[in-house]
Amino acid sequence: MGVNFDLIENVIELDETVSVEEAETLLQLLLEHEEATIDASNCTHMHTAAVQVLLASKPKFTKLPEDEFLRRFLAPNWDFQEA
Amino acid sequence: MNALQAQFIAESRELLEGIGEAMLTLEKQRQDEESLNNLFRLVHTLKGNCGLFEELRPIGSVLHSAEDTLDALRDSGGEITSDSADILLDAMDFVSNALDTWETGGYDPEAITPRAKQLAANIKAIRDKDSAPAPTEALEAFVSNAGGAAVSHITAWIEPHLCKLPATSKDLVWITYEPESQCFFKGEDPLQYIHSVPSLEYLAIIPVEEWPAAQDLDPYNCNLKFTLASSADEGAVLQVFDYVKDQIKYETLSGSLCTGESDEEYGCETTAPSNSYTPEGMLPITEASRAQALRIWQVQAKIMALNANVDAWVGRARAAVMAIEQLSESLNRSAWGEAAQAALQAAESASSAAPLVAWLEKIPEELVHSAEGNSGASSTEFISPNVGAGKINPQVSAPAASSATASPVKAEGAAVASPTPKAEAKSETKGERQEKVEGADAEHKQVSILKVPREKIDRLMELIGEMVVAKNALPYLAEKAEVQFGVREIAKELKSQYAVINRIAEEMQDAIMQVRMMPVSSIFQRFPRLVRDLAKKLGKQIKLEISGEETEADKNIIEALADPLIHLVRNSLDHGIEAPEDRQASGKSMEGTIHISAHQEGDRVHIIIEDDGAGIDVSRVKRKAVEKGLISEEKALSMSDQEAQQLIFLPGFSTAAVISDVSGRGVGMDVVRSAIAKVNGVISLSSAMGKGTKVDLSLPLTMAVTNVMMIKSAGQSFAIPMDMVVETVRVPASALHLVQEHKMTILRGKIIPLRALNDLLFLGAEQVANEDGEFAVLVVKINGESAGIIVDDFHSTIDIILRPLEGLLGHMSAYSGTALLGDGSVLLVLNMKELL
Repeated sequence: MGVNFDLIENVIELDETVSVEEAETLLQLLLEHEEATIDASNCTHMHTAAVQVLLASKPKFTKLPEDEFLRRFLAPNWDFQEA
Repeated sequence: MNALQAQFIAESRELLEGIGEAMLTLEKQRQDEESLNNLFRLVHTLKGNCGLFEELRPIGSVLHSAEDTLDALRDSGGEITSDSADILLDAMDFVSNALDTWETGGYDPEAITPRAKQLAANIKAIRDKDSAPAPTEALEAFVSNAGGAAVSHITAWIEPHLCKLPATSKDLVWITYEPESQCFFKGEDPLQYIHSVPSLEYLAIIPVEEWPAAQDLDPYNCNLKFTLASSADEGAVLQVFDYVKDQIKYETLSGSLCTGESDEEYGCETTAPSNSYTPEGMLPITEASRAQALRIWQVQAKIMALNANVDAWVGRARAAVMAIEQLSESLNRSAWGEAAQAALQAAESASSAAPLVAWLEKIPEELVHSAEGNSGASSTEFISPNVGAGKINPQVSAPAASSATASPVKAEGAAVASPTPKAEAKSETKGERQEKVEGADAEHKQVSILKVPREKIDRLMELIGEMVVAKNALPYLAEKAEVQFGVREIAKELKSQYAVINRIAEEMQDAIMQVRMMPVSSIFQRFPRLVRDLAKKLGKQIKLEISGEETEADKNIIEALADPLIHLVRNSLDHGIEAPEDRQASGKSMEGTIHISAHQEGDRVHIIIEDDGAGIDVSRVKRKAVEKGLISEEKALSMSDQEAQQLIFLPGFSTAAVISDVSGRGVGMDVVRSAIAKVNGVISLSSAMGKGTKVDLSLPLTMAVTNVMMIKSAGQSFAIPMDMVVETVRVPASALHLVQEHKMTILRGKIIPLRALNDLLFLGAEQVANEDGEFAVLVVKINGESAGIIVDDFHSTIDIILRPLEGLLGHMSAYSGTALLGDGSVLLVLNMKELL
């Protein structure tokens, strides 16, 4: 699974690939846990559907992806606040 | 073959048919933009589908070339000439054949590649010849020639992005990519494409429409578009978007045009994330936003100028003013907003929209005239994805307003010009959205057609057939209960249950019949192409008229009709319609007409093929028949014209003076007649010399259930299809006459030849007469002639599901099939046409 939720820390972790199916999961998580933040450090690819979920619901990111492409071209669109 | 393949094949066939149709329409009406678009779409879809399978690459390349050519034609307003249609049709045939071999096995991509290349080249030649260089190519050439220098030639969609990138010495390929909203369902991942763009320098992700609230978001409806720049070679970049070509626009510009600061650490804008992906600048008014703003302004003016009903104007005015306010806010022109408010107040106090209308018509200079003296063309280009000409579109305001507005819904509501005040405007918009969704749903419902493989339908059909037979056992059971076991009560109950089951079974039968019904259009649709090709080959001018193609008949019948019909149409073309000169000489128009029509009459379907050609030359037909020894000379002389015309149905008859490769391939009208007869059809022909020929095919609606009459002969049960039976008579032995060893009788003054069924079937028994010494005679009509069959006894008529004989028995033409009876016995159904 590319989308995991850490209930204690209230953090949604995006791991490796976030697939098209997981876009829905991600949206649900974001809706249910409005205060949840995003840890994308291990994320290597996000499906466009997931990207638009993140753009539309504007969660806070605590960790940006290490992946060069995501960091350079997607991260500027996110609300990043280092924890 | 896996399910995907099967689906692909089925879809491709449909697409190819559609392509053929569209092509022919285009050939006729060369400037039909809609057909051209339709054709382009079909080719594009087919090409996209081919992309699913690696081994179909050669096919894809042909389609790709076709797509490019069509696209070029579309852009240049060129037309499809007869020659280019030939080339394209040729290519589609190639695709169709290749897919056929792929389906049946034996497909070899290597083998077809040379042909594919050649076709692709042919198609490309059309483009090079027929169309002026496409505008994009021209523009490209211009830009590269000019060294990408002049600012005034930068397309508007790139401009807002230039300030985001540092100047470089390299050329940049700019691409704007707007994926289809349903692209995720096609397995596309736009970001994946972008990820594979080499040397990506810049990427802006822009929502197409304002984001809805998170809970209303449909994650699978792509609401993103992208503008990106790469320093790699143009070809390499474009290759990435090969399959979504129609969704991108691109342009190569010198990197020196970029005005941005040197590449800072990414995330410089992370503190304002909601703005960072709306790259439209704030100040001064850029060309792109100017054009949009102007558009918004004009739309408001137009809305206000509309002849409003009195109650609505206040809401409308408020909405318009709100839009102007948003606009002024986003462009930092607060004076406009204030002026708009003032105009609104003036209007409200005057209880008339006039002051506001007047104010709106005074569009600020800044919006009307481009600061850079840019041409209007490029500015419309930018908004064209969102705005249909003259259409009021709520999306218009979204990009401009999104850069600054706190409550985007307001702006949207305003642009829609909802006639209600602010709060309601919001819900209105939402309602509208919902409506849209519902509309889409309804559309879904309308086209919810299941594609079911025919085996499944056939299986269902068989099962229902068995059900009918099984149900027929119940009356026997009831009788047994009563007679053998003497329990009347149960017998009675069984009978009432039987009635219920019978009703349901009949309905089931009816339902499955409906499923099996197919419109004749499925065979008619191949005629336009056939006629076109043949007419060309034969050098004739032919107009094809088709009517009644929605008439339906059973699938089996439709299928059985395909070949005979093609043959008949070919005949009309080849032998019927004369060459243009001959037609002119005989005072007809140069163009011959073939009319194919279908209609339903009672429980039969009629298909009529009519031409206005030469008709059948009766004397020639007679001469030929005598020559070939088919009839005697005396008979020829005594024949009526009508009878003589029927001679062409005799086996071994072919009147074509020259054997062309169109008709006369040894398949004569006799084959047509027997093919039609196989599905219980009747073919009749009438022709008037010099005026034309008319062939009428009469076919049963359905062949699944056959009504038969049961008869008894030599102790066995047989059945004869009811549609053959004219009457049943009892003929006293004294009325039987022997003429030259042939039995016959006279019925109402008419001589009826008689044959004993036992003799016909070689049953080796004499026919038995009843107690009064009368023989049972079944009068049947075959090919318009009556004959009597002597049997032992008649029984009732029943509905059966006829099953053809299979295996070793399959070649026994005396029987058309068998049916199971309720008591489990097998009923043989006689094929009278073969027997007599």
